[in-house]
Amino acid sequence: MVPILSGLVFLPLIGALIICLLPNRSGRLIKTLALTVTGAALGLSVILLLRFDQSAVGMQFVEQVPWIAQFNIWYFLGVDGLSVGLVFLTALLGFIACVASLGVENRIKEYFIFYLLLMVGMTGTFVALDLFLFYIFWEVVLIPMYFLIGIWGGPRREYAAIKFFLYTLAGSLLMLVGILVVYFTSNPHTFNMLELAKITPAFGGHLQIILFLAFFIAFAIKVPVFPFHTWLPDAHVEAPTPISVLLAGVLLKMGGYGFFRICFPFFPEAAHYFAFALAVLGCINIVYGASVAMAQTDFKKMIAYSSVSHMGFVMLGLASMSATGLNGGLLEMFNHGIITGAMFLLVGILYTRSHTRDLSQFGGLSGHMPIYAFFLTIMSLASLGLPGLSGFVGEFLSLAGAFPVYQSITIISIVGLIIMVGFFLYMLQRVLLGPLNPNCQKYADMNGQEIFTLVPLLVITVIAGFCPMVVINFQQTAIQSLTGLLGGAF
Amino acid sequence: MMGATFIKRQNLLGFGALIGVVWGMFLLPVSFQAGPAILSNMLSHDSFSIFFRTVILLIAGLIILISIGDKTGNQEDIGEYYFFLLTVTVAMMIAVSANHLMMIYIAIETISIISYIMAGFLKRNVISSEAGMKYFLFGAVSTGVMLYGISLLYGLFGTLSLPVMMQTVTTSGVNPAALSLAAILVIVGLGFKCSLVPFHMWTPDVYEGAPTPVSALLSVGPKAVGFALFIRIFMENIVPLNFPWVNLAVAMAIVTMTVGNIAALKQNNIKRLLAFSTIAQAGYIFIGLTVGTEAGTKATLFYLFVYTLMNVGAFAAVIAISNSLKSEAIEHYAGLYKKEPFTAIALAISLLSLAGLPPLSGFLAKFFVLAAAVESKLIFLAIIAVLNSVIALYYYIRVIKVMFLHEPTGDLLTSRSVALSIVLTVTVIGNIILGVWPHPVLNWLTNLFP
Repeated sequence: MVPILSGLVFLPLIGALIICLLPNRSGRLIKTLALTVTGAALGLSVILLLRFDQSAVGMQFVEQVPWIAQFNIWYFLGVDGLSVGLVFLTALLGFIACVASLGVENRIKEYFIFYLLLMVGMTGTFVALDLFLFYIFWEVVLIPMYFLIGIWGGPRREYAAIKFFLYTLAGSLLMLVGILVVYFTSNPHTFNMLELAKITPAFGGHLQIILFLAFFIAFAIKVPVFPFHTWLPDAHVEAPTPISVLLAGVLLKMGGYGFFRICFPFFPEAAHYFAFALAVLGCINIVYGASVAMAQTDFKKMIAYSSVSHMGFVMLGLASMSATGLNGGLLEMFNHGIITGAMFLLVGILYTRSHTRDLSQFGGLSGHMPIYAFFLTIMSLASLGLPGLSGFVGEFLSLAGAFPVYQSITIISIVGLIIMVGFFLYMLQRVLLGPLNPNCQKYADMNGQEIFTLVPLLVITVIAGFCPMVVINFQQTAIQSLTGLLGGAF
Repeated sequence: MMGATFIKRQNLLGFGALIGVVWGMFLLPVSFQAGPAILSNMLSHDSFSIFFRTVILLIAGLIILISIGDKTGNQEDIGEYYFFLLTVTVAMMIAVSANHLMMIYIAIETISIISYIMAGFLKRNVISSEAGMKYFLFGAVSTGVMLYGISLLYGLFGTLSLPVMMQTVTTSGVNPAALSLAAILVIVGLGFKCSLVPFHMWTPDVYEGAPTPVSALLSVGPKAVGFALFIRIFMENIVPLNFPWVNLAVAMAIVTMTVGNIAALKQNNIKRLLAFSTIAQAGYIFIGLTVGTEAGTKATLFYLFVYTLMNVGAFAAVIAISNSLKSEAIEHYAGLYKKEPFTAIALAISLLSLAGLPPLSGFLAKFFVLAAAVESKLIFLAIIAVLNSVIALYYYIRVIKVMFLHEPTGDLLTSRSVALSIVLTVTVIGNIILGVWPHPVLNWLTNLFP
């Protein structure tokens, strides 16, 4: 059998190595190569989706080879319903952001080397089933991301890049200690995540709680959960458009995925213990993120804070511990990746024309840039949770799962949702409606390349909105076994 | 030991010296089977000493190459320079093989005296002379203290042979208070060599003032010796000395990491920054010893091996840059990537490896050390170590930021010498390969310590 997952992970690495050998001047060749590699990865991920057995319990496409025998470390890859959607999301956004990166003019070679290395880390995180390997991929993301923000970012790029780096590293190093404690407490010592999910739930209550926190902080910084979110607006605003797409679309999901894959199945007792706190944090994320977004005059910062708000729904769904809520949380991650990826592309499209993100500099674009207005409207409506578009389904399921358990928190969260509707509509009004701002007269409408990047995201948004079961069917089986694990603890 | 004899004869020029070291390395595997002790039990020929002699020969080889490539230093007394370099190599090899405290003391004194001379080798440079003087004053006091400890041990045991001492400790026992005092005095001497806090004060000034190849040597060579002797004296032989040693060592490891890292944050001279970074690294290495298990010792050895590669790599890059830049100020490294991509990448990889980021070998080294600490339930030590790593990342990444993110100023650099290119290539490849495929070193350690 073809090792399809290894292919997905290491294809970008091979691409990066080839680009290393190319001369600096061959910009076109480098771009073509990067497109080919990410395109091939997208193709592989589609094959993965087609061959994925939706009803099978457990891991599929497993690859397992011993790596460092002294520590029982394995090269161990596999996907199940929790990860397959995110793998596809990574490959899709990886390709689309690569198309959006074709405009890079400065230091092309380095840009695409770092970009492809970033792909390696992101994909690897979602398919690794050995904790050590997971940690390596998790950390591999940091260095390329630092350079991508730090070299090609906006005016405050250096500050944003180092803040992102230090924040995530602090969290992940605590996780490393947690990983080691898990390894040495398990008997026999193992990093195998499937084995551990059977062993660790038997740990004592206090140990579970401490370990849960060690992992939780690492993931919470990545998600980001209030009050660990302060790196996010800086990093999102300063990063170049394609990197913002990946930050919001994929990197945030790494944290959420960590909850689904490690925190909850490993430490179910602690998860129950902290469920209420998670719900409160989720609610704060929703309301706080939406309120801060409302106050923004910077277009990109507004979308960045809307991400904080959206990730709150993931937390809320997780906290509910019910199949409905967990399904909603996971679905919200996938949908948010698609929608917010598109939103950042749309912000970027306007920015390349205006070189400003100040919302007061726009106005009346609906008549002047009709295609742009069409995409922006649909995506904003999807993001604010209009029924019929994908954003609604995940949010609704999360809220529906949480309501029976935490009624008041759910009601407060819905208030946050109303604020979210408010700021998106306000944004649409400021950008699209009213008289045409004189600054905008020279702006051309979206070109073919820009339309090409947005169409697939729009199609998925509509399909996942009208027939959400297409997506849910992939994750259903895995969510059921996760719910079984969580229920089994009590 | 055969290797050492050969090296001694080569004392004229760098290439000759290099041939000697390579020859020594070539001969070392021949004598890889642990043999009987020689020189009336004063030198042992066990797997432990084989490991350290290999590391020291590796260090010597890399330092010779660096010295050949160094264009900033004193060129007139180059013959003497290589003579000192090779003598110190021999002394280091004797120190790690010694099984007798007298032998250890003599070897350490030899290393120290030659190091003083080498640190002050730029005779006409005031800072270099000051470095030599400072190193001498601190060193004289600490080795004096160590000698006092050794004499106390002699009073307690009536012998200085380590195996005999161990027998006495296990069979009849000795006065624990007196033994602790003697041990602490010995720790002072070794702590000076390893630049553990609070015996680290000399490090930044000496590294800054000494010729850079000498700083590179001092940052890895005597340190490896110091750690080897820690293991030799406290782990293999006076093991029952448990209670004060472990607590003291944990405290020293924590203070060393923290002081080194925090002091490094403010440095603007790359050599001073690396000096504080080596202090912090010594703290991490020391963790492996404090846990006192076999896993801990192996982690220490792995770390020392990797540390040699990363630190020598960093210093080699600094020399390559100083050769044409004539500056050690970090702000002058602006845009270095555009002027000298290979050197900048090599320095970046060495620094990221020192920072302990995967998939570089520095990460695995830290991982093994942390694993040993967690296995021995020293979890708070592991947590302090990882928090320190976050601080450390800040100053390592600052150098990288200046090199890669800032725009260059000034002219293009001149080309590197071949010798430096070799060192940089070896260290970079070693750092990357050992990060994903550590098996050569791990298997070697497993074979040496079954």
